[in-house]
Amino acid sequence: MKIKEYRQPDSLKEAYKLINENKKAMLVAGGAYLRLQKREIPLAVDLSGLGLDYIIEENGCLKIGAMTTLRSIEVDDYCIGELNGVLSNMVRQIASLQLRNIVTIGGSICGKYSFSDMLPTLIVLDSTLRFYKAGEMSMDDYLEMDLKNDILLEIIIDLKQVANVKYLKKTYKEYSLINVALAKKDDRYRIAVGARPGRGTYAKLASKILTTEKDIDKACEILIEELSFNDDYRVSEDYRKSITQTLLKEAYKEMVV
Amino acid sequence: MIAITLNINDRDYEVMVHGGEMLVDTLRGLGFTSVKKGCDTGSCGVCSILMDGKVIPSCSLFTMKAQDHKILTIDGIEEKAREIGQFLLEEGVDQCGFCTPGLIMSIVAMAEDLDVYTEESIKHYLVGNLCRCTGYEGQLRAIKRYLEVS
Repeated sequence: MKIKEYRQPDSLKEAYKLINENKKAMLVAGGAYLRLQKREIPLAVDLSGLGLDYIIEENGCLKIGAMTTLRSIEVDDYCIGELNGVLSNMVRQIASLQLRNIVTIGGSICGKYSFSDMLPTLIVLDSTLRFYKAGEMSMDDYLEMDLKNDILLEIIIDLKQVANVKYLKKTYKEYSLINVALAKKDDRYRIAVGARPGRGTYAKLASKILTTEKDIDKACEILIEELSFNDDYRVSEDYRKSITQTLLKEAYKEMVV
Repeated sequence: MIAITLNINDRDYEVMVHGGEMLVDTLRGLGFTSVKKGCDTGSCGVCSILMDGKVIPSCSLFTMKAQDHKILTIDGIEEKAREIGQFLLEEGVDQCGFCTPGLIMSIVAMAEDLDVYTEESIKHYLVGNLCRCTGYEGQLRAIKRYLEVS
């Protein structure tokens, strides 16, 4: 990684100006994944020190600043005690504790990493993202669009729901071979699957089918038809499909209990 | 190159760094060779240091991000490192020793961070510190003994 110029702006206004004046500028959150890339960046704009590291509860919603580290989420009382503890549980198995002290939730979202366990979880929680210029938008909309040169400020999650996330990995520190997230809000379920190996995606049809336990087999069938699954060097498409169904059933069973 | 000040082991250092420089390289360039360079991808933990009391892999942090923070390497906690090292020694964990400085930094952070220790919580904390010699059983025994007396 080569960075020609590294700037640490004092305000969001300045950061926004910097990335919009130089179209090849790159925002730096934690930087742990960015540094693995072999590329040359003319301008890196670091978002540390802009007050985006917080977790607060407000009007029944959890607001997580984009620069909050995964470790902060892991040990936060709200993230442990609300939403079935799904946020804390989800991050505590990502990489190592050392790395989680660097990696931020905002960087993980904006990287749109296909292996991410976080994306499916935030998708099923129907999270709202608030950007500096674009304002608020749903997680689903953000993942579908190509929003550039804006700054993610915070993630807003309605606390009046329950959720669960399941994943399969060979070893503790490895990326998931598949991950399945499930949430329930006002008697409506939301299902998302990631590491297919494609990016985490909302399964609209399977979510609609699932209303009670008798629907779970049908939801599983529709889920693997609705989303695309592929082979990669780690695991086959068929295996992924099979495990996806098992994980959804487990997630459902645990959540109902 | 950019001129910055780093606070390492309670002492300020004026250093010239380039934008993409990682903290492990800066520290080693300053002579802190106790900070080992292993996988260089944030996986092995041999480069672990403390930043404001939190253990991080220094190979995964841009040096620019370390400004205005307190960096602690094993050189800054010699007495404590010797104490922990003795427990490791007594349990036969003193093999190649390459992972030991990073492991000790994680143990120091863990001792400050956790109120209650279980085998699971110790393993969870140290999952980022790999050792290719020992098989971890001796380390676990040594850490448990150290935590009991500390």
